Amino acid sequence: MEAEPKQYVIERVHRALAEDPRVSALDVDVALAGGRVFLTGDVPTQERKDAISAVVAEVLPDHQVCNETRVAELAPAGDPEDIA
Amino acid sequence: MIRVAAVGDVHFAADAAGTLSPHFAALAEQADVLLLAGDLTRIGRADEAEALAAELDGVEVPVLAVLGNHDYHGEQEARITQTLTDAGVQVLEGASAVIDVDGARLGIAGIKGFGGGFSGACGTAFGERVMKEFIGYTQDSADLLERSLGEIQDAEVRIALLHYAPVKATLVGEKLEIYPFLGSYLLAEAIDCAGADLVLHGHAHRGTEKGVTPGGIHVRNVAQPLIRRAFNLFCLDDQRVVHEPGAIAAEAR
Repeated sequence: MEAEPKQYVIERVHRALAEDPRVSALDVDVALAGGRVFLTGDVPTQERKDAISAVVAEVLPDHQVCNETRVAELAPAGDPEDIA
Repeated sequence: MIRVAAVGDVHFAADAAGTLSPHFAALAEQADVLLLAGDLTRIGRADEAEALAAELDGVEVPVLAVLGNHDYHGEQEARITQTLTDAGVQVLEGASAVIDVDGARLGIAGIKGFGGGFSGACGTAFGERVMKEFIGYTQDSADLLERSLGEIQDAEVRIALLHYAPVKATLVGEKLEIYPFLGSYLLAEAIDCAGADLVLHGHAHRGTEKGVTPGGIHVRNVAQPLIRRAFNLFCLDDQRVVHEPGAIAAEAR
Protein backbone atom coordinates (compact mmCIF):
# COMPACT_ATOMS: atom_id res chain seq x y z
CA MET A 1 0.00 0.00 0.00
CA GLU A 2 1.25 3.46 -0.89
CA ALA A 3 2.08 5.93 1.83
CA GLU A 4 -0.77 8.22 2.83
CA PRO A 5 -0.56 11.45 0.81
CA LYS A 6 1.18 14.15 2.83
CA GLN A 7 -1.69 16.61 2.62
CA TYR A 8 -4.06 14.20 4.36
CA VAL A 9 -1.55 13.65 7.15
CA ILE A 10 -1.12 17.40 7.60
CA GLU A 11 -4.88 17.92 7.78
CA ARG A 12 -5.20 15.16 10.39
CA VAL A 13 -2.76 17.12 12.51
CA HIS A 14 -4.59 20.41 11.88
CA ARG A 15 -7.89 18.80 12.90
CA ALA A 16 -6.40 17.32 16.05
CA LEU A 17 -4.92 20.67 17.05
CA ALA A 18 -8.27 22.38 16.50
CA GLU A 19 -10.52 19.72 18.01
CA ASP A 20 -8.49 18.31 20.90
CA PRO A 21 -9.57 20.25 24.00
CA ARG A 22 -6.00 20.25 25.32
CA VAL A 23 -5.05 22.59 22.46
CA SER A 24 -7.95 24.06 20.43
CA ALA A 25 -5.53 26.03 18.27
CA LEU A 26 -6.65 26.89 14.75
CA ASP A 27 -3.57 28.74 13.62
CA VAL A 28 -0.60 26.42 14.05
CA ASP A 29 1.25 25.75 10.80
CA VAL A 30 2.14 22.13 10.12
CA ALA A 31 4.80 20.83 7.71
CA LEU A 32 6.27 17.36 7.14
CA ALA A 33 9.81 16.61 6.01
CA GLY A 34 12.22 13.74 6.50
CA GLY A 35 10.12 11.88 9.03
CA ARG A 36 9.67 14.98 11.14
CA VAL A 37 6.61 17.14 11.75
CA PHE A 38 7.37 20.85 12.08
CA LEU A 39 4.99 23.10 14.00
CA THR A 40 5.19 26.90 13.83
CA GLY A 41 3.11 29.87 14.99
CA ASP A 42 2.51 31.78 18.21
CA VAL A 43 0.95 30.38 21.38
CA PRO A 44 0.07 32.31 24.52
CA THR A 45 1.55 30.00 27.18
CA GLN A 46 4.19 27.29 27.64
CA GLU A 47 1.42 24.92 28.79
CA ARG A 48 -0.31 25.25 25.43
CA LYS A 49 2.97 24.73 23.59
CA ASP A 50 3.55 21.52 25.57
CA ALA A 51 -0.02 20.38 24.84
CA ILE A 52 0.61 20.84 21.11
CA SER A 53 3.62 18.54 21.30
CA ALA A 54 1.64 15.91 23.20
CA VAL A 55 -1.31 15.92 20.81
CA VAL A 56 0.82 15.77 17.67
CA ALA A 57 2.94 12.96 19.11
CA GLU A 58 -0.26 10.94 19.60
CA VAL A 59 -1.48 11.62 16.05
CA LEU A 60 1.90 10.88 14.42
CA PRO A 61 3.74 8.50 16.74
CA ASP A 62 6.16 7.56 13.96
CA HIS A 63 7.30 11.17 13.42
CA GLN A 64 9.71 13.26 15.43
CA VAL A 65 7.85 16.34 16.65
CA CYS A 66 9.71 19.63 16.13
CA ASN A 67 7.59 22.12 18.02
CA GLU A 68 8.92 25.50 16.91
CA THR A 69 5.89 27.48 18.09
CA ARG A 70 6.76 30.64 19.99
CA VAL A 71 5.34 31.59 23.36
CA ALA A 72 4.36 35.15 22.58
CA GLU A 73 5.09 37.93 25.04
CA LEU A 74 2.50 40.69 25.12
CA ALA A 75 3.76 44.20 24.59
CA PRO A 76 2.08 47.12 26.35
CA ALA A 77 -0.36 49.24 24.39
CA GLY A 78 1.30 51.60 21.93
CA ASP A 79 0.39 55.20 21.22
CA PRO A 80 -3.33 55.82 20.74
CA GLU A 81 -4.59 56.08 17.17
CA ASP A 82 -6.76 59.09 16.37
CA ILE A 83 -9.88 57.98 14.53
CA ALA A 84 -10.91 60.97 12.43
CA MET B 1 -12.13 63.08 23.14
CA ILE B 2 -13.17 59.53 24.01
CA ARG B 3 -10.39 57.03 24.58
CA VAL B 4 -11.06 53.38 23.79
CA ALA B 5 -8.95 50.34 24.64
CA ALA B 6 -9.78 47.25 22.61
CA VAL B 7 -8.56 43.71 22.19
CA GLY B 8 -10.00 40.43 20.93
CA ASP B 9 -9.00 36.80 20.92
CA VAL B 10 -7.34 36.64 24.32
CA HIS B 11 -8.37 32.94 24.44
CA PHE B 12 -8.06 33.04 28.18
CA ALA B 13 -7.76 30.14 30.60
CA ALA B 14 -6.21 29.58 34.02
CA ASP B 15 -2.79 28.83 32.53
CA ALA B 16 -2.60 32.43 31.29
CA ALA B 17 -3.36 33.98 34.69
CA GLY B 18 -1.26 37.06 35.30
CA THR B 19 -0.45 37.76 31.65
CA LEU B 20 -3.07 40.49 31.16
CA SER B 21 -3.64 41.95 34.62
CA PRO B 22 -0.35 43.91 34.74
CA HIS B 23 -1.39 45.68 31.54
CA PHE B 24 -4.90 46.34 32.86
CA ALA B 25 -3.59 47.87 36.09
CA ALA B 26 -3.08 51.35 34.64
CA LEU B 27 -5.90 51.16 32.12
CA ALA B 28 -7.88 54.03 33.64
CA GLU B 29 -4.99 56.39 32.83
CA GLN B 30 -5.08 55.36 29.18
CA ALA B 31 -8.72 54.75 28.30
CA ASP B 32 -12.33 55.50 29.21
CA VAL B 33 -13.61 52.05 28.28
CA LEU B 34 -12.29 48.56 27.51
CA LEU B 35 -13.89 46.64 24.67
CA LEU B 36 -13.35 42.89 24.19
CA ALA B 37 -13.94 41.59 20.67
CA GLY B 38 -14.78 37.94 21.34
CA ASP B 39 -12.89 34.66 21.78
CA LEU B 40 -12.51 35.53 25.41
CA THR B 41 -11.97 31.89 26.36
CA ARG B 42 -9.91 29.01 24.98
CA ILE B 43 -12.63 26.39 24.43
CA GLY B 44 -15.74 28.07 25.76
CA ARG B 45 -15.75 26.80 29.35
CA ALA B 46 -17.25 28.73 32.24
CA ASP B 47 -14.12 28.20 34.36
CA GLU B 48 -12.10 29.96 31.65
CA ALA B 49 -14.48 32.90 31.86
CA GLU B 50 -13.95 32.88 35.63
CA ALA B 51 -10.20 33.08 35.05
CA LEU B 52 -10.70 36.05 32.76
CA ALA B 53 -13.06 37.71 35.22
CA ALA B 54 -10.36 37.42 37.88
CA GLU B 55 -7.88 38.97 35.46
CA LEU B 56 -10.25 41.89 34.90
CA ASP B 57 -10.74 42.44 38.63
CA GLY B 58 -9.62 45.94 39.45
CA VAL B 59 -10.17 47.41 36.00
CA GLU B 60 -11.64 50.80 36.80
CA VAL B 61 -13.27 51.61 33.47
CA PRO B 62 -16.43 50.06 32.00
CA VAL B 63 -15.76 46.77 30.23
CA LEU B 64 -18.01 45.66 27.36
CA ALA B 65 -17.63 42.49 25.33
CA VAL B 66 -19.01 40.29 22.63
CA LEU B 67 -18.41 36.55 22.56
CA GLY B 68 -16.60 34.73 19.76
CA ASN B 69 -16.74 31.29 18.20
CA HIS B 70 -14.39 29.80 20.83
CA ASP B 71 -16.80 30.98 23.52
CA TYR B 72 -19.55 28.93 21.89
CA HIS B 73 -17.48 25.76 21.48
CA GLY B 74 -18.31 24.31 24.88
CA GLU B 75 -21.99 25.24 24.49
CA GLN B 76 -21.69 27.14 27.77
CA GLU B 77 -22.13 30.60 26.27
CA ALA B 78 -24.98 31.47 28.65
CA ARG B 79 -22.82 30.56 31.67
CA ILE B 80 -19.88 32.48 30.23
CA THR B 81 -22.11 35.50 29.72
CA GLN B 82 -23.44 35.22 33.28
CA THR B 83 -19.97 34.79 34.77
CA LEU B 84 -18.69 37.88 33.01
CA THR B 85 -21.86 39.83 33.81
CA ASP B 86 -21.46 38.97 37.49
CA ALA B 87 -17.92 40.36 37.23
CA GLY B 88 -19.26 43.65 35.88
CA VAL B 89 -18.64 43.06 32.18
CA GLN B 90 -21.49 44.06 29.91
CA VAL B 91 -21.81 41.31 27.30
CA LEU B 92 -23.60 42.43 24.13
CA GLU B 93 -25.24 40.10 21.61
CA GLY B 94 -27.49 42.00 19.27
CA ALA B 95 -27.72 44.74 21.86
CA SER B 96 -26.41 48.21 22.54
CA ALA B 97 -25.17 50.22 25.50
CA VAL B 98 -24.45 53.88 26.09
CA ILE B 99 -21.70 55.07 28.40
CA ASP B 100 -21.31 58.61 29.64
CA VAL B 101 -17.74 59.82 29.19
CA ASP B 102 -17.36 63.26 30.76
CA GLY B 103 -20.77 64.29 29.44
CA ALA B 104 -20.36 62.75 25.98
CA ARG B 105 -22.28 59.64 25.05
CA LEU B 106 -20.36 56.65 23.75
CA GLY B 107 -22.70 54.17 22.11
CA ILE B 108 -21.62 50.59 21.51
CA ALA B 109 -23.57 48.08 19.45
CA GLY B 110 -22.24 44.57 19.88
CA ILE B 111 -22.75 41.21 18.27
CA LYS B 112 -20.58 38.20 17.54
CA GLY B 113 -21.55 38.06 13.86
CA PHE B 114 -20.71 35.12 11.62
CA GLY B 115 -19.25 34.14 8.26
CA GLY B 116 -20.48 33.87 4.71
CA GLY B 117 -17.87 35.68 2.67
CA PHE B 118 -17.50 38.86 0.74
CA SER B 119 -18.69 40.44 -2.46
CA GLY B 120 -18.03 38.22 -5.44
CA ALA B 121 -17.29 35.15 -3.33
CA CYS B 122 -19.97 34.67 -0.73
CA GLY B 123 -22.52 32.09 0.21
CA THR B 124 -26.24 32.50 -0.33
CA ALA B 125 -29.27 31.03 1.40
CA PHE B 126 -29.77 28.41 -1.27
CA GLY B 127 -29.66 24.63 -1.40
CA GLU B 128 -29.30 22.39 1.62
CA ARG B 129 -31.01 23.37 4.85
CA VAL B 130 -27.68 23.71 6.64
CA MET B 131 -26.50 26.20 4.01
CA LYS B 132 -29.66 28.25 4.35
CA GLU B 133 -29.26 28.18 8.12
CA PHE B 134 -25.63 29.30 7.79
CA ILE B 135 -26.38 32.39 5.74
CA GLY B 136 -29.65 32.99 7.56
CA TYR B 137 -27.77 33.15 10.85
CA THR B 138 -25.41 35.78 9.43
CA GLN B 139 -28.30 37.78 7.95
CA ASP B 140 -30.09 37.70 11.30
CA SER B 141 -26.89 38.92 12.98
CA ALA B 142 -26.57 41.74 10.47
CA ASP B 143 -30.20 42.75 11.02
CA LEU B 144 -29.70 42.79 14.79
CA LEU B 145 -26.52 44.83 14.38
CA GLU B 146 -28.29 47.42 12.23
CA ARG B 147 -31.09 47.66 14.77
CA SER B 148 -28.64 47.97 17.66
CA LEU B 149 -26.73 50.73 15.91
CA GLY B 150 -30.04 52.47 15.30
CA GLU B 151 -30.69 52.44 19.05
CA ILE B 152 -27.55 54.55 19.66
CA GLN B 153 -27.81 56.98 16.75
CA ASP B 154 -28.00 59.94 19.14
CA ALA B 155 -24.68 59.13 20.77
CA GLU B 156 -21.79 61.43 19.94
CA VAL B 157 -19.55 58.43 19.21
CA ARG B 158 -20.80 55.09 17.95
CA ILE B 159 -18.79 51.88 17.83
CA ALA B 160 -19.77 48.54 16.33
CA LEU B 161 -18.12 45.74 18.32
CA LEU B 162 -17.92 42.39 16.53
CA HIS B 163 -15.95 39.18 16.57
CA TYR B 164 -16.25 38.26 12.89
CA ALA B 165 -14.93 40.64 10.23
CA PRO B 166 -17.20 42.89 8.17
CA VAL B 167 -14.67 43.56 5.39
CA LYS B 168 -11.94 41.75 3.48
CA ALA B 169 -9.34 44.46 4.05
CA THR B 170 -8.64 43.41 7.64
CA LEU B 171 -8.30 39.75 6.58
CA VAL B 172 -5.34 40.30 4.26
CA GLY B 173 -2.68 37.86 5.41
CA GLU B 174 -5.15 35.05 6.02
CA LYS B 175 -5.58 32.29 3.44
CA LEU B 176 -8.11 33.37 0.81
CA GLU B 177 -9.83 30.00 1.03
CA ILE B 178 -11.01 30.64 4.61
CA TYR B 179 -12.37 34.16 4.11
CA PRO B 180 -15.99 32.90 4.14
CA PHE B 181 -15.36 31.52 7.63
CA LEU B 182 -13.86 34.78 8.85
CA GLY B 183 -16.65 37.23 8.17
CA SER B 184 -19.37 38.56 5.95
CA TYR B 185 -20.10 41.67 3.90
CA LEU B 186 -23.62 41.58 5.36
CA LEU B 187 -22.17 42.96 8.60
CA ALA B 188 -20.56 45.87 6.75
CA GLU B 189 -23.77 46.57 4.86
CA ALA B 190 -25.66 46.79 8.16
CA ILE B 191 -23.05 49.13 9.63
CA ASP B 192 -23.06 51.36 6.56
CA CYS B 193 -26.87 51.51 6.64
CA ALA B 194 -27.05 52.46 10.31
CA GLY B 195 -23.82 54.48 10.56
CA ALA B 196 -20.92 54.25 13.02
CA ASP B 197 -17.60 55.92 13.71
CA LEU B 198 -15.51 52.82 14.24
CA VAL B 199 -15.85 49.07 13.82
CA LEU B 200 -13.77 46.76 15.99
CA HIS B 201 -13.44 43.04 15.40
CA GLY B 202 -11.14 40.10 16.04
CA HIS B 203 -11.10 36.49 14.80
CA ALA B 204 -8.53 36.98 12.01
CA HIS B 205 -5.26 36.26 13.81
CA ARG B 206 -3.19 36.66 10.67
CA GLY B 207 -5.11 39.51 9.13
CA THR B 208 -4.40 43.21 8.87
CA GLU B 209 -5.12 45.87 11.46
CA LYS B 210 -6.72 48.57 9.35
CA GLY B 211 -9.55 48.61 6.86
CA VAL B 212 -12.64 50.55 5.86
CA THR B 213 -16.20 49.63 4.97
CA PRO B 214 -17.57 50.37 1.47
CA GLY B 215 -19.36 53.31 3.13
CA GLY B 216 -16.12 54.75 4.50
CA ILE B 217 -16.25 53.68 8.16
CA HIS B 218 -12.99 52.79 9.89
CA VAL B 219 -12.51 49.09 10.67
CA ARG B 220 -9.84 47.84 13.06
CA ASN B 221 -8.88 44.22 13.66
CA VAL B 222 -7.77 43.98 17.29
CA ALA B 223 -7.13 40.22 17.47
CA GLN B 224 -4.40 39.87 20.08
CA PRO B 225 -2.31 37.37 18.08
CA LEU B 226 -2.21 40.03 15.34
CA ILE B 227 -1.58 43.18 17.37
CA ARG B 228 0.76 41.37 19.80
CA ARG B 229 -0.14 43.87 22.48
CA ALA B 230 -2.28 43.71 25.58
CA PHE B 231 -4.71 46.03 23.77
CA ASN B 232 -4.80 48.83 21.24
CA LEU B 233 -5.88 52.39 21.97
CA PHE B 234 -8.10 54.65 19.89
CA CYS B 235 -9.14 58.29 20.35
CA LEU B 236 -12.44 59.47 18.90
CA ASP B 237 -13.71 63.03 18.64
CA ASP B 238 -16.85 63.46 20.71
CA GLN B 239 -17.86 66.68 18.92
CA ARG B 240 -18.86 65.06 15.64
CA VAL B 241 -21.97 65.84 13.64
CA VAL B 242 -24.51 63.06 14.08
CA HIS B 243 -25.07 61.25 10.77
CA GLU B 244 -28.52 60.76 9.38
CA PRO B 245 -29.25 57.02 9.31
CA GLY B 246 -28.93 55.67 5.78
CA ALA B 247 -26.98 58.62 4.42
CA ILE B 248 -23.73 56.70 4.35
CA ALA B 249 -25.37 53.62 2.90
CA ALA B 250 -26.92 55.61 0.07
CA GLU B 251 -23.49 56.84 -0.89
CA ALA B 252 -22.00 53.35 -0.58
CA ARG B 253 -24.56 51.87 -2.90
